Amino acid sequence: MFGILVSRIPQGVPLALPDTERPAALRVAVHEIEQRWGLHAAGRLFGVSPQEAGFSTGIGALDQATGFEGIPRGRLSELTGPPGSGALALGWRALAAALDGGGLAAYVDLPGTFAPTAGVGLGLDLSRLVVVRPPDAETALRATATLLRGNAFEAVLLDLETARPRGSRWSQLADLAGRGSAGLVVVTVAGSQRVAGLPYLASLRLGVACRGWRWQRSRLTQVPTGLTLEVRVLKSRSNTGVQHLVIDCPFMGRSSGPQDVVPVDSALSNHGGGADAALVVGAAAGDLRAAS
Amino acid sequence: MAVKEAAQRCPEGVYAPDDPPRYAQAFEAVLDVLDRFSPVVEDAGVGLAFADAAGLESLYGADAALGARVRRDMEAATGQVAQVGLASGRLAAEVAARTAGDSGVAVVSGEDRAYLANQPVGRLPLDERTLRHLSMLGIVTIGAFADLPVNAVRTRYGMEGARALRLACGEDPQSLKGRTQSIVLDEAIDFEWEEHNVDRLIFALQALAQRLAARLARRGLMAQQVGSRIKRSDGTVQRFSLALPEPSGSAAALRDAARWRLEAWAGDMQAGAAVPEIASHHPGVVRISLNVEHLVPGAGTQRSLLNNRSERAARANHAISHLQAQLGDDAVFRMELCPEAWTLEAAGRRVDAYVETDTQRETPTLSPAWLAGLAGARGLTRLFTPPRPVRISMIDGAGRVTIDGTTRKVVARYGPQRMQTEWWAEPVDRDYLHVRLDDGRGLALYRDRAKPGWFAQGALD
Repeated sequence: MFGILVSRIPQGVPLALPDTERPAALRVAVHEIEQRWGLHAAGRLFGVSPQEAGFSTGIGALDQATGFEGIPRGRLSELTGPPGSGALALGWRALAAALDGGGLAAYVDLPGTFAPTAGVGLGLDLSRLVVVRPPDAETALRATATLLRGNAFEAVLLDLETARPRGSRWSQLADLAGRGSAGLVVVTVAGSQRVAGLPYLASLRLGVACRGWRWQRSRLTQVPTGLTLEVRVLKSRSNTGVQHLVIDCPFMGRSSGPQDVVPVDSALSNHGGGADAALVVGAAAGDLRAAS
Repeated sequence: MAVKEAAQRCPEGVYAPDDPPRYAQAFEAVLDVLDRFSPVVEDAGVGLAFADAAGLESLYGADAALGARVRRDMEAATGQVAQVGLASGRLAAEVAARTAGDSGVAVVSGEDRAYLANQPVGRLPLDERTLRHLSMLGIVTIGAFADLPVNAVRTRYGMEGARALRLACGEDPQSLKGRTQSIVLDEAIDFEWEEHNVDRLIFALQALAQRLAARLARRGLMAQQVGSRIKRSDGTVQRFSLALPEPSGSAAALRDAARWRLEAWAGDMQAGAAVPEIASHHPGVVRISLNVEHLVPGAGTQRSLLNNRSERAARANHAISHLQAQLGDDAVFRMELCPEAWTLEAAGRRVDAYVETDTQRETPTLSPAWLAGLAGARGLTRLFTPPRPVRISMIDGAGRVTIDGTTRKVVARYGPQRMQTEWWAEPVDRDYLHVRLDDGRGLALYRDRAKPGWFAQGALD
């Protein structure tokens, strides 16, 4: 489906065109409008074209809930959550999925904490992942624009963590993503202040919260295997009505399908922690201190 | 042996001081002789050079005759006696030259792989540690190394091992890198006024780039580095230079490289301005010049035409080059895993950011045992480099962790896991502990058992 072309100065486009000539004529019209009045003079409103179908997160239920069959291409998406929410792991999973069919991806690493082992565990091909470490948030946005401009990357993941850049560049980034086929995913840590402009321009916003870690226990050791995440679809320009789900996000390999969905109530009741956990920690810390 | 020791043992000896510039100058004459024979000559360091001999048969006859002619001319022109090897790839040619014997010329007539098979594995570009390990495994010849499975080599010895394996198999993945010509082409524009507008400076750069591109085309050369000098009205001169992702002679590539540096500089001068412009209280620009350096022959070095590098990878390299101009070379990179590492902080290393292709590669075989051995590796999406010091304490019967000056209560913890390497590996003896804090953060903490103090290795996010 093609959306509606909105132009501030609707001149020069013949209204009655044969179907075969429409896409070419539209391209010419958009190009002329942008050349004369700038990048923001023309844009597409709601609706998903076949080219915009997203790349799968590898978690079937989540792909379905977004309405884009995953993270949308050519659009701006935001994954947000409190510290330790698992939003970054989800973003990397999407990045890995974007690389499944070949191509390149970029990770703008503002906190400077890229962990290659975890990336490989989540399916990233490091040879096709370019990492950029900007010194500050403003530069991170400029670097993201540079990466998007050449339409050379399948997906760009911008990890802002707690940074709050000014809002003026988000519309440019959304615009640049829309001109190519790259999916732009921004990971933010929710705090007292929202990232100005981003919620308005994002086509998809997912609120992520960690409901617990998954562990594989043996007699000798415990190995973390994944996270149980609670995901809320805060905004979707192609909404399917699903607003809230709990999913399993493993650290190694992929998982998908309906079995990912865990009823919200049971997932929450399974979550450990609280006073008992604190007691266990207290004892362990004492033991370790004595041992050291 | 130290010079002092040598002098004690042999007091009659004549000891000349090390003089690298003089050696380089002498070797330049050797390279000049090779230039007479081949259009592409690669300088591989003093004492070693490669020349492309393809298509020279009609001029000099068979390979052996070409080798003899090179040797004779070299001796006549420089007084140096050369060893010459001829083969399909660089490694085989080098081995042939080094083992040429009295005649001084050796020609590898068959396949490079067969020729290299009996050579010692130490001739491959592998580090000492890898060679020692191969020796322990009983792999002493290049042929035995070439028979190893590619995935196993890549997993165990990383990309360097994989590259060495290709060489051992007689493949030479890189084309000859033509010798840099010591010519610098320069163009400049003088302003009769003080220019503050960056857009107009870029327009001037465009004109300079077009002039330089025309000069390069006339000489059949391409540039590997672009430089620019900006002279301001107070007499100060600002210099920029940027290495291009691949040799280029196009005006657009030259202009863009200079423009990115210029914009970064102007941005630094007036941070936050919507339109890049040198503030009026700063001295304006009175002269701008553009130069190209490290020139190479136009033919045979444009990798995008020779390799199967896709259009998209070329565009990505353009963006990478742009970012390196703005942020510095160290700010843009790719990473690869080091399967020989035994700690998480050493498990990844940086590699060149430029991509060769955007096609899907064979997924490296990542042993789950190796990942499991790196305790705390799983799920650590944020890796602290270096690890951050933390303090673990008990307050009112509950565990607390102090990190970055903030103390948080621990609401869940898993572990400790003990990690001890085997006797043959780098000694690592650590206790790992995963904790979840009351603000939601998940941290992997460790302590070296031989040292005091706890550290945060990274965070689950």
